[in-house]
Amino acid sequence: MDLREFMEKLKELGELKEIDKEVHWRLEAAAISTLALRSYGVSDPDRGAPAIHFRKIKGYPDGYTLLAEPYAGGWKKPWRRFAIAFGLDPNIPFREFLGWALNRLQSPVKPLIVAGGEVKEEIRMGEEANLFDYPWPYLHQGDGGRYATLDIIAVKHPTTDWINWSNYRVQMYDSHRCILNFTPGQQTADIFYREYEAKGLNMPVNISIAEPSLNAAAAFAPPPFVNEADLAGGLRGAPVELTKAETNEIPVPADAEHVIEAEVLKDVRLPEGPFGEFIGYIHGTHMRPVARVLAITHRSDPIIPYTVEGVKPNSSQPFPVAWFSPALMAGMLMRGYPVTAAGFHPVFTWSNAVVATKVPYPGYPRDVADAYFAFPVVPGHIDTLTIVDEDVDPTDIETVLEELALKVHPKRDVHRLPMGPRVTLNVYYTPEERKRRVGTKTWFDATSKRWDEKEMGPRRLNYEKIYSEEIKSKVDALADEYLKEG
Amino acid sequence: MVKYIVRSNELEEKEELIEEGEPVVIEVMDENMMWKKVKARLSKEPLEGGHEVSILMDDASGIQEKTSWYMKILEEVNE
Ligand SMILES: Cc1cc2nc3c(=O)[nH]c(=O)nc-3n(C[C@H](O)[C@H](O)[C@H](O)COP(=O)(O)O)c2cc1C
Ligand SMILES: [Mn+2]
Repeated sequence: MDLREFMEKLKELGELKEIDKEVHWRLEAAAISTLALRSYGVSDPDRGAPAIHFRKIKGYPDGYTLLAEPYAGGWKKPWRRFAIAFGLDPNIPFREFLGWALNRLQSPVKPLIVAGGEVKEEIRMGEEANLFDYPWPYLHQGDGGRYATLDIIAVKHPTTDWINWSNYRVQMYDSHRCILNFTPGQQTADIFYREYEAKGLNMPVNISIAEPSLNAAAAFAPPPFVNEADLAGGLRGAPVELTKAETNEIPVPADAEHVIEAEVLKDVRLPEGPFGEFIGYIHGTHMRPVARVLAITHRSDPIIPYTVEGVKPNSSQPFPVAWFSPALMAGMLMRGYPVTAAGFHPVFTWSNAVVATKVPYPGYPRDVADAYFAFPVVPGHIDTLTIVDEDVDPTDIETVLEELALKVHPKRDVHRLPMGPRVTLNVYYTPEERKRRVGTKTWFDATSKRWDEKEMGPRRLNYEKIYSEEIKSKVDALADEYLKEG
Repeated sequence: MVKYIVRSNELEEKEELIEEGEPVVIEVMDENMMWKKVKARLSKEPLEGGHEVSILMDDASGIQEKTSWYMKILEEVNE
């Protein structure tokens, strides 16, 4: 699978639009795709707007193109585009997708090293490798520069065979330098800070633009020393093909669209941002590490996908639902918690967590909450967790809200855990709280308790439960005749 | 879109020198939205051979397109 095969699949389903009219990389492309997503978000929340292939970009050669929002799909079904990429039913329910992903991620496949590859159609070395020869988009008015958003950052742990992949945004600073948003606590970031910079070393890095299985594996958060390339192979059900880089020991995807080979410089920082952040607000600059470009290799007609980060719906919102959920699920099951579905409700996926679980003993929801917030996989800025009964689909926002409304005691079932957030982007924290890194986690216990719906106490009122089989069979026959839709 | 954008905090830091009419070393973002370090003269009055500048707000409130600042680049500063 490469990006183009994925685009072909989208096209067959009517979910890719090609625009040949010239558009500007500065705000114009981003504004068009954002508007499309907003209007389809209302009219078709399950399928969403088509991805847009902008085929003529102002100031760039023919063939150097932008692919807007390939993973956005409908905001209510954020895993849809990944389902399409992996040949699943586009309308697959969340739990089935989660089951599929868990299964595949637990069956890793090692990559294959091949000679050459489409990514070597053009090779530019040293001075010839200029970041601004490519149409990186300028996404939000007020950003500090142009960004790669959907990428795969590959680094090598210096003393083991671990090659870690991740997706971090990259700011194109000038022709030969880019800034990497290395958030401390993340694996790639910590490998740089602790294993290279602290030891006085620069770190080789390859930044690739490739296809869905690689984007998925890069965002997924396995434990340390797991090569995400093996997980991408598991998702594809076939090895990822990697090929030699020009300047370092880290292999690159042979069928990538574009690869930047660089070295992250020790002891250098530049102001990264401002940037429209993933949690819905534009934030100011942070000093972040800088990479010097050594080579760029790419296809002769590179396609650069992008997402307008922070604006919902977009191609970033699906990642927690599709790829953090299986990581959480795997971790909870491994620790013995009878969780039936981990997820994020789709109204704003980056900022909430929902877990559906059996409740095997009294007081168990507290144990789940403690374990959940202590997990490295749960992004540090997520401050609220809703725990629901085992049969609830975490992505079904209407049901999650109904459970909250009906089952949460306003005092006993709302809990707080004082703890420091790992990142402090949430807008509601004061500057003082951010500086001191103190925050609070809240969890809602929306499970059934003290009463058992099946045997005693209140019985939830719905058609299935309140009428006998005899009545239902009569009514079903009548309904068939008189109450058909349409 | 004007030709150059500077950061509000850099302007503030260098205010004294600028008021004295001294050239300053400052980072500017050009029409390509990439940064470069330049030696430049800044002024509230139009400068011969200079350009209007916009300001990238450090508090992330956006870019002020219309400002009363002008800049004349004297030379690029290599790093
Ligand atoms: C579109 C997108 C952009 C992201 N940008 C960043 C980023 O700039 N910095 C960051 O720390 N994590 C970012 N993430 C989250 C990481 O990709 C994710 O936490 C990943 O598991 C980190 O991998 P690592 O721990 O191997 O470094 C982003 C995720 C997505 C989907
Ligand atoms: Mn990792």
